[in-house]
Amino acid sequence: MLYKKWILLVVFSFLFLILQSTEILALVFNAKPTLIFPFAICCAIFLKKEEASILGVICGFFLDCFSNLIFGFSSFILLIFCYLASVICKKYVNVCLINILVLNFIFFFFYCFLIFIFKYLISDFECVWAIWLHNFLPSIIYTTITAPILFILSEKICFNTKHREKNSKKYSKANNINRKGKAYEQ
Amino acid sequence: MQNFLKSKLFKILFACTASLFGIMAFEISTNKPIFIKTIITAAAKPCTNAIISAHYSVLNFFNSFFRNGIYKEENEILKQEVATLRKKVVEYNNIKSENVQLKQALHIKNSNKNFNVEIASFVGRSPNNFANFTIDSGSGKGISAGDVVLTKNGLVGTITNVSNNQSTVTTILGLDVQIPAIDSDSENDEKGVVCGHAEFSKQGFCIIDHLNRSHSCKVGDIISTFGNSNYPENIVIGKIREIRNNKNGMSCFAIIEPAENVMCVKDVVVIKRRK
Repeated sequence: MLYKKWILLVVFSFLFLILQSTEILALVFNAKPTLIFPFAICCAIFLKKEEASILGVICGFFLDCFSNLIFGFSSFILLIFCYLASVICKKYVNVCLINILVLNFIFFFFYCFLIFIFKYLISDFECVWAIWLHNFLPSIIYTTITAPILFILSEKICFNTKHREKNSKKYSKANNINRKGKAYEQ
Repeated sequence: MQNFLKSKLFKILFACTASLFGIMAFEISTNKPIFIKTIITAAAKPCTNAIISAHYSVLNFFNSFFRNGIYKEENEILKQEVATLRKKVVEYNNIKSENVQLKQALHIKNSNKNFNVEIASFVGRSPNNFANFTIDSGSGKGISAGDVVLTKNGLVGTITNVSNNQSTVTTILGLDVQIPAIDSDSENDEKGVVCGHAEFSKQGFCIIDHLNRSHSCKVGDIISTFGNSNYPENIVIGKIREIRNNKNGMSCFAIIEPAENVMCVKDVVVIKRRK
């Protein structure tokens, strides 16, 4: 049961990697959404801090595969962001749609800004801010818009599997059912 | 703080961070792809290909219903473009053949700097008369009777009749053509007269007549013009195919295979005589 959640998380991350790499998703103002990022953040909200960090690393690996960045950069960023998302949503804010949108926007904005600095600003290209305006900003907005859908999906994956785990333990304890599901007499 | 440092969370975070920095350092130093990236990319490739092909199949299916009007317009535009391009191809072919003609003329002109040249094209030939044909240039362009007609391969004939914008060429197969020629390949530079022959002309051969009995010509020798006021020198006529004795027994003649197939010429160069 525990592994079922992780299998689902990895499979969906892989699926989103394929989707964002192909032409299925429509271009809006020449931008495509990065689906893995908000998915990782939304799942991290429902996971423990350790699990959120590991998920961030895994999703970061997927992000790094088809990007032109150093392998491990996105993993490191997502490790930190998923940990923060898990901490923030458990201690400081309620889990609601607006908070999810704001959180995703801030984290993805910061992630894109880091890439923009290391890839373009430092290299001192001409008209770099045009790249920010025409490429990064539409991508940030488009990705943030997809966050609510991914939040619902991540809730189904994380919350339901977690709920089923809890319920199954309670059920088996209450009915004195052993691991193989057979009743025994106390 | 100490509790945090000893906690499971810190150990996981530390391990993850350390391994990620190790991976980044490895990639920067070796510049080779990490095995994780290779595995994920290899796994993603068939899935990506499958999704892309499915995506295009669905798009094409729906396009056939909704984009008919657009395809029809595009088809009309492309048809017009094809028609324009076809015209351009015809123009290009004409320009190309004209270019070839001009190059030939330039080559001949460079070889015969004392003569003026005029390019002309084949117009027509009488079906029963293999020895003559008509070209599309005449006295209007300075051509006169007796001017030599040739191609880049060799001599074709001479102008016999001239009108304002047409001329008749009598080829070297003609019986009334008399062209002074020389066999430069022979030891003694044998000279003779190239003309047509009733028996051989129908086969496409002419002869060089009035060769001495003690000539040194041999089969395969190249016959060219001798050069005088009417004919430029060193224009290839053909090569000797066979040598025979004349009926009178006093001289010999050689059957010549012309260098240019005079039955198939299209574009010729007329060398206008000096006046």
